[in-house]
Amino acid sequence: MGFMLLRRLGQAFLILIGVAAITFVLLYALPADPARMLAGRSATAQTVASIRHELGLDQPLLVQFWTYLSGLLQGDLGRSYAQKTEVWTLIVARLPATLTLMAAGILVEVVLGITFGTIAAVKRGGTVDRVVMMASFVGVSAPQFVVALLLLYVFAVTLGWFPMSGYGSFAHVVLPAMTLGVLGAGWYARMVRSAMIDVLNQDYVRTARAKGLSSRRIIFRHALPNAILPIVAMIGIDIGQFMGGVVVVEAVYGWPGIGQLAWQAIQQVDIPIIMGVTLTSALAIVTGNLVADVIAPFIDPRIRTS
Amino acid sequence: MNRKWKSIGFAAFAAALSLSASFAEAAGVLTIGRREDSTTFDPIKSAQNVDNWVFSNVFDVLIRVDKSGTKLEPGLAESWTVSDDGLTYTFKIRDAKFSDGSPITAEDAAFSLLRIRDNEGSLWSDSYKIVETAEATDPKTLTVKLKTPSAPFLSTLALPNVSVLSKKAVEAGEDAFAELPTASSGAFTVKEWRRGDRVILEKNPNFWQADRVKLDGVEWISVPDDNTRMLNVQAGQLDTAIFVPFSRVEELKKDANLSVLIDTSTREDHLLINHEHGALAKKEVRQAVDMAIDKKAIVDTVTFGLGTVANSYIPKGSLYHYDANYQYPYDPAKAKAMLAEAGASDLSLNYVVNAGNEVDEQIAVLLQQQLSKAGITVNLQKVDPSQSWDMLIAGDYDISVMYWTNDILDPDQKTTFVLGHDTNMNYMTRYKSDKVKDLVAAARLELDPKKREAMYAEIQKTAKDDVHWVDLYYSPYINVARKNVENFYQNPLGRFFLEDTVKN
Repeated sequence: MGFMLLRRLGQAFLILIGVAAITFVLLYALPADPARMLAGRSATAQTVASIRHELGLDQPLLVQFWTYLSGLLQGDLGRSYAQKTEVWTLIVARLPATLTLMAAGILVEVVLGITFGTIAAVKRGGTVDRVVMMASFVGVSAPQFVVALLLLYVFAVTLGWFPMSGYGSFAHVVLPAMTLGVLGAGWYARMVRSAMIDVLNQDYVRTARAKGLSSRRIIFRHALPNAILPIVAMIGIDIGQFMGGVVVVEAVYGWPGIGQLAWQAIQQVDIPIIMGVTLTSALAIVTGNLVADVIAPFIDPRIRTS
Repeated sequence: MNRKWKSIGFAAFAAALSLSASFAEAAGVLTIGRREDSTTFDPIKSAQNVDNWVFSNVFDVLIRVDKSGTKLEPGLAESWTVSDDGLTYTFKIRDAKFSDGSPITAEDAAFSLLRIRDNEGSLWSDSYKIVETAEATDPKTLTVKLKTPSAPFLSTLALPNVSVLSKKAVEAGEDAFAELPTASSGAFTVKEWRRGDRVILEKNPNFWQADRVKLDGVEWISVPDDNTRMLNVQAGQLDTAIFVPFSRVEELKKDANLSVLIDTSTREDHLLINHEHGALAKKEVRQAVDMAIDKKAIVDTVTFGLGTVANSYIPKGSLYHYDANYQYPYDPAKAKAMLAEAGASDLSLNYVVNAGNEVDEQIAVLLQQQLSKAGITVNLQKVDPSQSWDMLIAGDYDISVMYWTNDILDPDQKTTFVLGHDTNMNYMTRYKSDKVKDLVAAARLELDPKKREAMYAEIQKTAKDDVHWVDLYYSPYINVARKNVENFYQNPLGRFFLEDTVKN
């Protein structure tokens, strides 16, 4: 177990270095010139050249990468080109907003997914099942910005239940979290449904039924705990999905998290921020997967013995 | 894992909930929704409109641009004189205080002017290289000596980037000042900057025109999505929003709670022509291209009729705009004949388009159709916006659409860039005209406004005749405000006069 963890940590470290290298090459291979973006249209070639020098962009790519990497290994993400502030400071300031949104999104998808998946499995073949499966299909396929605008229009504009955008109270988080969670909820409902159906056909369930247990007890005590196992692993992977989703959702709802930070940085070709956000996301994904792997044996004894 | 993430989540939730109390809007606080957040509060380190528009709320300048955007008026400089040789400027600094209560002195003004010229992080040093010395000859007198006479010099002092900053506050720590300026010379102070969310400004009681300011405060709130931003104003969750898309104007006008504000800007969109490429070197061919373009159709389609057809590179409403300038008629048949005469009837052009920019792509398709009627084949080459710039500099294009907005009221800045024959090859067009080159240089030195105006008229006529590029259209700023907001106005250079705005 200890050795496994150590090996996984080593892998995670290599993955992060790899992500850093690939992102770096991609960003600097782009024909975009951050100095030009910063200087504005009216700047002379001389100004642009001096900015380029100031930012170190006139150095060979390999030298730039080495500078970046050695900074990174000391925990230094560099300074934003446009905002002149430590990237780390900017990300830390935005992280609580994004984490709040992600936590709320996960809550939405888990609660909705498990509830509707279970109902559908139990009422398999019935109208309820069909409606749930249909809805989950829509949830999975609808583009996030469409869902966002739809929820915004119905619940904020027409009904006026929630604020349209911004950050700071419980009411603000509801719509963004719904938008973010609805996609995963669709997946989860489908997964829980098929896992439940599987489990409900198992011998031990039949035994439990033969023993005369109530169907509620069978579903909640015996079937569900087994059926939601795959979801635990999924949540780890989902963090990656969410990191992509937050960019769209934060833009629509004006949510001041790292997604919006990245969005603005992309407009300004502010490479250190783009790098920083990418690495933070990669770190979140790697950590999510790692944690899912580590705790899986505690939840599922079968993994422990194998 | 669940527990770990949840506990972090709950901690964040708790923090979020505790903030909610502060969300009730204060009565006299104006909320403005915009696309992007500020990037810095150090004026010399930004060249972006999002920043400039906030700088001018927070810092005052020696000389301001008036509401019409065509005249200068006294700011922190109460009056000024210019020596006969045009080299020495003497400014009298008015009795005014920074928000921290300390007096604004000539020392602070000199410091700010030299800082934008010399600071390594300054994006504007080129514009102020002309300053030889700037010193406080007494606490209320600033004396500036120039290297050469310059007609546009005074108007460069109105740029928000050269605002008067407190020497003491900046020297206490540049980085901290850029985060949260501790002393402001303008109508408002920065109370808080919640990065990515909003900039919170509070009325500056020490502002020299504090009586003029009606608002208790202003919040610049970033709402990146255009739809969300408009919905916010429609529902009354924001007082105002800027950057209204052209396509939304009709609908917003129908809302009885809103006023759609259309203010003149200096934005001009134009079609760049590479004068070094083949037949485009011939004036007649460029004239034919101009005649083959139906500018009215572009205005109607792209700006929903809100723009106006352009007839000069100096935008309508700007200083020295030559309103009587010639306009090539839309006449594809004549264009075709002219091309045949010039031996270019099989003209084929490579058009560099910014991919992903809706307006740019729309214009490209329109122009392709229009030019084909004159027998010109247009190949659209879609590239990333940041790449297109390098292609234009390298001359790797035949035609491409670009736009320009003025930073200062004097036409010299744009004229030099577009027709000054300096290192940028006349805004990448490679246009050459000795007559225009000499006129541009002479107009910069001419201090008599009447003579300058005549020179600029001559420049505009010549450039038009040579078709240095094709002027397409001018477009306004479009903002929207709730009906209870009065005097929410943006001048052509983009300055919001929030010191006059009232929220009832």
